[in-house]
Amino acid sequence: MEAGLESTNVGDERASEDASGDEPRNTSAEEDWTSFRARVDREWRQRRARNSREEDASDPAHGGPDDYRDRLLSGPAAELFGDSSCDSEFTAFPPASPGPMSHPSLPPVPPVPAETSGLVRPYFRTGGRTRPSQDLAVEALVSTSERGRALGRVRVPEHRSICSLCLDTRSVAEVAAYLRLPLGVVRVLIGDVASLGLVLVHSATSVVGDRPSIEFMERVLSGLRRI
Amino acid sequence: MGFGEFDSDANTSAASGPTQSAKIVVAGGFGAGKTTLVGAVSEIDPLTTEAQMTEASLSVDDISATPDKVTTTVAMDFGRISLDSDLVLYVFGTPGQHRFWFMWDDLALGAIGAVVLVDTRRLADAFPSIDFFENRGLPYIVAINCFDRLLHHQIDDVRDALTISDEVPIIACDARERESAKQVLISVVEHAISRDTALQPG
Repeated sequence: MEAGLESTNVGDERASEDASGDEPRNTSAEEDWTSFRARVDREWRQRRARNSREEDASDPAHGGPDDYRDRLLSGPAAELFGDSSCDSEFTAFPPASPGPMSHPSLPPVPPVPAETSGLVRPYFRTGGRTRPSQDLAVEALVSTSERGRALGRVRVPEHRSICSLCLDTRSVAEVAAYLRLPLGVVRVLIGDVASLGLVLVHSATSVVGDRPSIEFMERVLSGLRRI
Repeated sequence: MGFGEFDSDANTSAASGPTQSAKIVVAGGFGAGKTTLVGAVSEIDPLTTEAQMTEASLSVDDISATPDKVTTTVAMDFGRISLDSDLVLYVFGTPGQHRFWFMWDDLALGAIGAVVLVDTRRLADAFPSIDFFENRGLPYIVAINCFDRLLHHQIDDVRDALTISDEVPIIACDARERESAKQVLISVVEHAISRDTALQPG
């Protein structure tokens, strides 16, 4: 697992912006993002297809907590934060201790919610901050700015992951799902990248008070009728 | 139509894509079919995200039964529907129990409305969701999920059992069917529009 390694970079980053010690890590980011994602998605679908064949007996509509967990731990972004085969020489820990995310085909593990973060507790990635610098709705849309598109220059791995994901506009919730980090953590991280000017946050809806405007809802309604 | 605020860098971005998003919440008891409904209308395989209950919410969440537990993680499924080149709708399915309320405020804020998905064999599971949406003033409808295409109870009986007012629409649906699930979402938006219109002064 590289989670520990990568997370320590968050601290290093601020101290030495131009340090190049972790430069080789960027090779995976410089790989064309779309092909990287296509590959990850493909592998994930194969795993998932294999899985669902085994689980056909159980009704997918009634998936229990184990089902959630299985899906949480087998998403297409499983490799974004480590567990990737392409740069195993940087693995800080012997392969004898595989992370839970590497084996979606294992029998369901009893839920241990406090441990879902793996080696590093989730808020370590945010330097312990739990409040984002700006209020972000779960459905708020995030897209990578011109500056953020220069992925090779984005040093913090978490920031780079977000910039890569948001080349296509995505919601905060989607980023959390793909990075498989809790919503609260992702909010703080997106607040960070937004304040660095690497992504743009589009406010969620046109709002009157705390309600979407009627014009906006009319648009949603006619959109729903069209699809 | 007002567009949202953009980051100051917005004009330097070449990004084209949706710039507005809407949200509908699907609540209901365990096994009522929330995930099925989300999956039936979503253009992507439903995604799962999780939220962790922080200490701030511990005071309102009853953890007396599990005093050693520091955090609780809740998973929610959501789907995405592109409605226009610049408009995306997200549908969030969320567990209906009281203990997950720390997450509901977040979801309810800015939502167009909510669906309370009901399995008539376990009507009581719907009470917490209904309470919450009533208290929050969020427009909601009740959708009875007919797993076997049979409505086992008269809609009026369900209304009585849930003690909800006549203004709240109750519809029957099959959460597995895309058209049916879509109709549920349409009903929510229609209800929200008519309720908000009625609430407007003048």
